[in-house]
Amino acid sequence: MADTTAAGDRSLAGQLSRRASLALALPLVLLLGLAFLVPVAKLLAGSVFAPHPTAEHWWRIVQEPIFLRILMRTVQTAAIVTVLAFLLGYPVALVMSRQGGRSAVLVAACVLIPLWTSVLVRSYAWIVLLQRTGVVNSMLLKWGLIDQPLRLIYTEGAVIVAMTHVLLPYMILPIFSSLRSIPPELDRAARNLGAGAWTSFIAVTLPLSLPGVYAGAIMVFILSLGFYVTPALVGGPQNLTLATLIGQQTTDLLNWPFSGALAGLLLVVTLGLVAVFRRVLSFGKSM
Amino acid sequence: MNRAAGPAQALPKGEGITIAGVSKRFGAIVGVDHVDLDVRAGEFLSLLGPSGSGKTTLLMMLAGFETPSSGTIAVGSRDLTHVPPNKRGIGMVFQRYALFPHMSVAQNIAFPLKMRGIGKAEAEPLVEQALARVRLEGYGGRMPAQLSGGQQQRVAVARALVFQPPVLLMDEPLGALDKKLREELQIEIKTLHESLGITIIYVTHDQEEALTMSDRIAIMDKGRIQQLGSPVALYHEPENDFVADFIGKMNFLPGTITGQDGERIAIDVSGQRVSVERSQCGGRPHLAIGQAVRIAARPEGIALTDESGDAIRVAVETSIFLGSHRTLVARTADGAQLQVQLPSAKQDAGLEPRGTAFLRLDPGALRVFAAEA
Repeated sequence: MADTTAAGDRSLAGQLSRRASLALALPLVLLLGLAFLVPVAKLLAGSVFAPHPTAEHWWRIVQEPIFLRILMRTVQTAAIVTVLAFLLGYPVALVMSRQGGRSAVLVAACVLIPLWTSVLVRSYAWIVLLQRTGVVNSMLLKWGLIDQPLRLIYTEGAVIVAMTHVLLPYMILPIFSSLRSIPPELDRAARNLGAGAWTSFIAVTLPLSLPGVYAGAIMVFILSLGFYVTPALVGGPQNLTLATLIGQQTTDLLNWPFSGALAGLLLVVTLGLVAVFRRVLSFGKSM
Repeated sequence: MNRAAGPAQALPKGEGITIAGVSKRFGAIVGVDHVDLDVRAGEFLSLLGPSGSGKTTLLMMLAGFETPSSGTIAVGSRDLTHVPPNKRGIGMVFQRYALFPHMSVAQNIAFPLKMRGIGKAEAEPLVEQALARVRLEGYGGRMPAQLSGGQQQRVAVARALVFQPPVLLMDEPLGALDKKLREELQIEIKTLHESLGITIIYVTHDQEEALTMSDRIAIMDKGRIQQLGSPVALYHEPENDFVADFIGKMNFLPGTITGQDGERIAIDVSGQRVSVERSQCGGRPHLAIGQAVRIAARPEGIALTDESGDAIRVAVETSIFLGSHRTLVARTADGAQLQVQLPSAKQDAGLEPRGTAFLRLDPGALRVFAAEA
């Protein structure tokens, strides 16, 4: 404990020496290194050395328009899902942040229990709802609103709806936590100074919750870009995203070098978009 | 800033406030219990009380953040009971400043002007003036986080006054500041009040603050106003033992009524026979010969005496030298502890711990209350 910092620093990190903290982090660092970095590096390397240096696989992505179209659709889907999750999630976060006691627990449970449920289960639930003989179609038929079952499953719309549902908690929770950190008297001050409830929200609450919105949006967007399970189940083979395409290439076609190139593309696009995101939104950090 | 060049800004005139039969119930809990209060235009009135006394709830109803369960609130001739907070036009200063952290100082102060549709060009000189009023010229471009607590609260005051409200509500505005800064800002607020002629309702639990700043103080406890009066009246003529105990230091002694006529009452207090005027009774104690009463005496209303006759015999517990005076802590034969303020002298006047001394009450400075049930 020779390295204990100023007495005011009561964090755990302040009590442990630097070496002890590093030792504690080591198992995870090793696991990440062995089980994540090494395979990824191998996969990426495979796309350019197969076995001799070649740009063939990367060139194929550019040459065949289908792959760039899938990339564009993946980005577009992720963007739509992010916007929908924001529009649906913000009001929920707002309600959560303004509840006290029992009702707060109830709303939190409604958000958290889906999060704790397997993504697989939630995706299959959407199949049950949306398939030809599913709940939605049989209801519509029963009420006489349609004559023929609609094609709901295996559409882009189904992918967007299901992904929004699955990723919603990742939007709600950061917004909730930033809303919770806004002192309630700020809203009161705005109201007292002449702002109506809506104006006070727009002028005070919303701008102060933006850090949470950014965190939630980045999280949902990144997760959407690489999302596999839900698009694979609900989207079917017609609605390929980059992640399901990679899955197809590795498991069905065993084309590892090409999936390495696709994975590299996804990684670059993700990092690039996150960088743009941060740059565009960095004004929000100046508060 | 060239004040002469601009149009002369009309000073906001304070308005009176009429609170009539206001109650606030939260389920089974009564936060404010039938409060009637008339605040004069331009008055500095403090709501003073322990936490949970209802003073903050009353203020929240004035601001419009709570609606009374019954009763009415009017400012000037306007009934505000059901008017939403943003339509009341009442200024408010919060305990924790409540500045908008994402806006500069100038934007914070301009906010109420913007809400009133006042254009930028018109608002700018008003913001400058408001900053000058709280001695923060040139701070408009700073963010609130770059200011000290005292500066932040001054910005909050400037923001609350910039739209010239007739009434300013202050909710323990100095509670988060250290003592020195608090005293400085007390004087500043008092000066502002005098120069603006605005009505101020000031909530505090600090009796010293209330005594030094207020024209009148309403002492609250259990949702009711226990007494409303000037600081002098509250200190010297408390109407009940809660007020007597809450304001300043007070000693309580048991007494027994030994005689009375139309004007005066004779009471035996631990060996001293005092005669007090009927007006010295707080509340309406039952007055009959032999009746037990509770006598309240300020530390400065008790003196040492050499005579043992017609005096209170006490056991000295300790004597504390405080520079300008000395505090003697002693106990009567009934077990009541007394604090007595004695003049500061070089000699200790033989007040040894565990010694015996004789005290005499100044009959004119006593208050008489009903004995505790």
